[in-house]
Amino acid sequence: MSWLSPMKALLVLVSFALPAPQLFAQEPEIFSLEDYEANSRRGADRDAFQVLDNPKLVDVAAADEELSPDEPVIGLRVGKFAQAYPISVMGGIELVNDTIGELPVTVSW
Amino acid sequence: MYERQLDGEVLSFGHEGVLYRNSFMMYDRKTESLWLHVTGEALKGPMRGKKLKFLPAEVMPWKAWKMLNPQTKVLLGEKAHGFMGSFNLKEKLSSYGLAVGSGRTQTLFRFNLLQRVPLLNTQVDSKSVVISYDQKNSYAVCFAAKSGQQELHFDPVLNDPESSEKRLLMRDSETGSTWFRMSGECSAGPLKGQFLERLPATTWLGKRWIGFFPEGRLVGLE
Repeated sequence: MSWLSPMKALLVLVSFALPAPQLFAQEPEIFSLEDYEANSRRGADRDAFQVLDNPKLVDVAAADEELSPDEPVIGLRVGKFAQAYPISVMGGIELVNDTIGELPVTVSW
Repeated sequence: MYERQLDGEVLSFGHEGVLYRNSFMMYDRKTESLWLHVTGEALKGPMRGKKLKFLPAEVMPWKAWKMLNPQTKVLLGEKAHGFMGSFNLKEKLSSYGLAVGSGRTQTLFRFNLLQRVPLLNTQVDSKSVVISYDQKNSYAVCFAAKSGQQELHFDPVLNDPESSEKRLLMRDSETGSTWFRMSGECSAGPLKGQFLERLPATTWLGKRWIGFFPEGRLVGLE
């Protein structure tokens, strides 16, 4: 993968001390509808991809049987509660309406 | 990740089936507004302009997460194949970065840079921040670099090999206080007990992020 040449990498290293350019300061923060219409495409019907609603979660012992130690997970912590969503699973599900402790949350990938 | 409650009401979301700049759109089942899952903002429909509250989350290896959170619950399920899913399995953590800042001009700090420079004092949205990276577990967090009105600058501190304390540490040069690098809690010194404010920051696959934020700032090595 080629991201940056070594010379450019040096420039980038220097430039991160500078403030971010304010090229779009006069525009609203969200993406414009025009940009959305120009750069979006329907890949499937609504709800063609499965979404999970408050799925059953398992404990560490059960997860250990399925996950390899180096498998990346999305980890979410709210107060004393912690929940993990393996990227290998989220790559297929993409969106979960879940609850952590008492807090309703979305997890997406 | 976001709270899915807004103005006292719980929202739930479905998959719209539309890709915008190669990221999928979600819709809320009540108003059918379309939301960007990558920023938590409603783009189209009655909720346009609303924003879900950001919840910090980290992407790290399972073994590291369960060590930090032995009581964690875990989602299991079928492993991904096909549309949008399969490539994740082939990517290494070095392909990721931490995106910081708001709007379209946010900055992605690639993990390959943070692997070499694991503690960065820098500026995002004209605010001083400190980005801390756990080289062993390949994940990063971002904090506001201040206590009250006082701006702080941090240097990494090596753990005493005699000590049982293995958590990563840093010290601010203004007060000499010592802090846990990944939690932002001050462990010793004049500011002991204080927490740095954790800032919204999202782990992205670099390639995806560039496609979504072409005006953004990429900081990293080849």
